[in-house]
Amino acid sequence: MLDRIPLTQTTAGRTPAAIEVLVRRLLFTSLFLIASPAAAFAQGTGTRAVIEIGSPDFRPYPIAIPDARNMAGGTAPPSAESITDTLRWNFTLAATFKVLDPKSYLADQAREGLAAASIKFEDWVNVGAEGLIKCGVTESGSALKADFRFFDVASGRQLLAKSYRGKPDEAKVFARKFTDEVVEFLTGNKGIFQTRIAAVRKTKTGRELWVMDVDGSSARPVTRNKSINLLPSWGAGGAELLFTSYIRHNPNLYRIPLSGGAPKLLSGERGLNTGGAMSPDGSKVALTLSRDGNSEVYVMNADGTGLKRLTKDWGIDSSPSWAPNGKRIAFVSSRWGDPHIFVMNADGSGVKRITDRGTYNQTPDWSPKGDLIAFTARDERNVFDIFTVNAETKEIKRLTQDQGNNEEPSFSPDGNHIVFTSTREGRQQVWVMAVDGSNQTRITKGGGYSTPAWSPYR
Amino acid sequence: MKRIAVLMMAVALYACPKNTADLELEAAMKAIDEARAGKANDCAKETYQAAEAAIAEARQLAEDGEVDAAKEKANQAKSLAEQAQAASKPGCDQVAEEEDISDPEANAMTDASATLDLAGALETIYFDYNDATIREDSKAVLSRVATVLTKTPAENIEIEGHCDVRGSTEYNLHLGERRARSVSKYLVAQGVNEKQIHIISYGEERPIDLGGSESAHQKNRRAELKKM
Repeated sequence: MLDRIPLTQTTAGRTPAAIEVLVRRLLFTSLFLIASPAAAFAQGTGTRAVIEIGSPDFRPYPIAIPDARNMAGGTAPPSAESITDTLRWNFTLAATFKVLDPKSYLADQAREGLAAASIKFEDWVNVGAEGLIKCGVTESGSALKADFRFFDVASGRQLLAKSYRGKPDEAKVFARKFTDEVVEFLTGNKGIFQTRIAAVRKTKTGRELWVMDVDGSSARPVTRNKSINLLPSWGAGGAELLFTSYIRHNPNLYRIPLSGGAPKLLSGERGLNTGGAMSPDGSKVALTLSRDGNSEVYVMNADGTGLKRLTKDWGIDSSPSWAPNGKRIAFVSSRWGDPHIFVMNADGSGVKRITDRGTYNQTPDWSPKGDLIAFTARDERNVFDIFTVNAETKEIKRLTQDQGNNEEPSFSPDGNHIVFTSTREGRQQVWVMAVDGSNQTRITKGGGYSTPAWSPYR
Repeated sequence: MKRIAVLMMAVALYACPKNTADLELEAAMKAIDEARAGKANDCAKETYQAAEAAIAEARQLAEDGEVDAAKEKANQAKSLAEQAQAASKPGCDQVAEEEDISDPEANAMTDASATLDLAGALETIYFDYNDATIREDSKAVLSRVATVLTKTPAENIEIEGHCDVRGSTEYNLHLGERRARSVSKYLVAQGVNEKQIHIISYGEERPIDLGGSESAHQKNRRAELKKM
């Protein structure tokens, strides 16, 4: 079995720049690399394999993640368990990887350590692993040291080694950091496991903004004003949220720093001020206003000055989402009667309808990769599901089906994952999935969540 | 007549039929005619008018030689006309009967206008799915409100627009406001001073009925009129 992986030199190094090499990936006894960049690869610098999801030759990279061990010997502390769980959860969500079932592992894990010399790589080859992640923790008092290793199983070479020091409750943080290291090493794309997700949560007194980690942990409220706070989106750099709130008895647009502090008014026009979306370079905010007697899309500078109207139409125009190059904006319009997804240039010219099918398409979110726009559609059975549409070819793909109502998609900053809401288990929860619809996983408990938004890279 | 003239001109200008918007224009005009025949100009006024506006634009574009844009606009007009037609299919006069189920109070005969009792005149009115058109059955309620407001110029009201929970949060905020504005426009057309009216939308955020049935959805698709 041969697979083709283009390897790309992304930083200046000793090997020729931007080369593509055919790499043999024999399923069970592979040489991970047989070409000249091998030396650079083995040193963990310079060269990375790009494994694109959705490409015809794509095959998930099989990885083994045995339990993190206690380096002092004896029973592993809770921090070790937390690291193991987090690593496995992360690599399961990342669709470029396939986590091999821990029950199938053949290696004598009690005897194996972190050093390559102590590892019987044959045992890992025989369970189908191409990569192996090992972790050992050392706890003393209230201090935690976590050592991570990443090995190429076929060659027995250590590809990455990292040590993190902190407190036992930082175990998950360390596991996320190392996940991102491995993802970036293998794919050339930054990992998403240190990013965050914002959402609205229903409370007894109203609607508040919440922020959580990618796996739903460390969820905390950002607003506590007991008013109605809606439609969070991330400011540039992921340090603040833009949102609509009724704190002054009019749905105004505010920004609030995640570090704490009071919301700052960004747009307080008469009527609705909704759907604030910051341009990828952070210089502009697109938003929907009804101040001129109808709901239209506008754009203004990030400080609230220089307001310009982009749409002029009898229907509802709303929900702007920027293309990653900042040159185009996707939005919803009911100018054809039913709501559909449209695209226009950032100056309002060149309006084009993108969804030809369906009668009720909303909530566009443009992928950071630029090709796809994710959206919510109501189908002929009046069920809501997540779809993507190619902004150029208008090709539509369905990502969810027959699993309750699925709505409000938002792309991860690598464009490989989507966060959305689903009622498939009863109450409306936040779920994540890969961009091809695989690995759908619930991340919240308790319910009452809506309009999730995935943060940019920090 | 004018329509035919435009068509003929378009045909004359573009000898090759593949490079004109004639087919699209014709289909759109047919759809508009059918919609009008189905009373869509009364029953789904807003959508019908949008269809007429779109066909006018399409004709202009065709005249200007903007074939692709004309086709697009004509298709838009056709889509709008068909939706206006579909919305008026059940017939406008039947709407009043439906209202008996959804809002029994709407038909309760209280002659509030005579007493100039604003609070007594203010009632909640209801809307069809994804629509902001004032239904026939709401017009009597709103006329009473208009009568009281015109006679009590010092009084102000707030109109809250609401939606059912289906559809996106943001779109529903805008739909809710469209409902509130639709009520406001109706009152102003009846002689109420615009300054007496404040509108606000709560979208789907303040439902009356948390259920998922059609009757629950109907209760939530509403405009609440409140004394300020």
